[in-house]
Amino acid sequence: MTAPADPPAAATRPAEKAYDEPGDLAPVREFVRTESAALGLPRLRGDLLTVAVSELATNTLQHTGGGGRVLIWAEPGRVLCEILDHGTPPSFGRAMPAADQPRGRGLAIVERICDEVSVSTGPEGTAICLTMLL
Amino acid sequence: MAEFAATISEGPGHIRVALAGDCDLAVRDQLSEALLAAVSRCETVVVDLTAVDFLDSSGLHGLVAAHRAAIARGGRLFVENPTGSVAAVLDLTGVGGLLSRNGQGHDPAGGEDR
Repeated sequence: MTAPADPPAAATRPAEKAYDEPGDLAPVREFVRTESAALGLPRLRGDLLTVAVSELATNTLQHTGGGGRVLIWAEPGRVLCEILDHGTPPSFGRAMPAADQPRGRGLAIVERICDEVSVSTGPEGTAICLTMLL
Repeated sequence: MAEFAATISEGPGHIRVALAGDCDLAVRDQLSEALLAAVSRCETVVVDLTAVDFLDSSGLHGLVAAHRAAIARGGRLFVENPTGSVAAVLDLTGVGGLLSRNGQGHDPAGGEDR
């Protein structure tokens, strides 16, 4: 009960949702909308986080040949969302494509929406952590 | 989470495509087919986004590809009535400005992108 690894009192346990195919994207979005509202994000901010998560889950489905998982939780002053898959890390840091270019905006949208985006890799794949400040 | 739908109606001098539901990867081909079909039938296509609950880069791809097809035929494609995160995504990508009737000025004789 008082193990040193206990999270801070204000943190919540992550809620989790898996996805494996394009038809899973709508349920993932509903999950992020519901959870982010419960964690205190205003409606539009929650809807935008939902867009960011959907972009990354779409990337998983298009580029890794497998599925992934979404975790969402709160820490003081922020909502965090992690997207885990078995692929290699995507290339963030690119400019938003010109308006008349059909492709290449998914990651730029994620970076515009979220207050922080961090990427970590390990033997199991890639984890992308999105932060939305409350 | 309304199901995706594209309803096409003909108005004076234009075709209106009323979209509904979520415009994502799952319906990307359906969206592109509906928009490209409209663009091939009429020079002016108005895409009504009133009932669209969700739009991401997959949906933007369909809109921009159809816009380019319209321009290539000497026509135009506009979007109208985006709300909430749909409006925000159009705005932050610049696609909203590109496809806005107001943003292009009232120039019915023009119709060429710069």
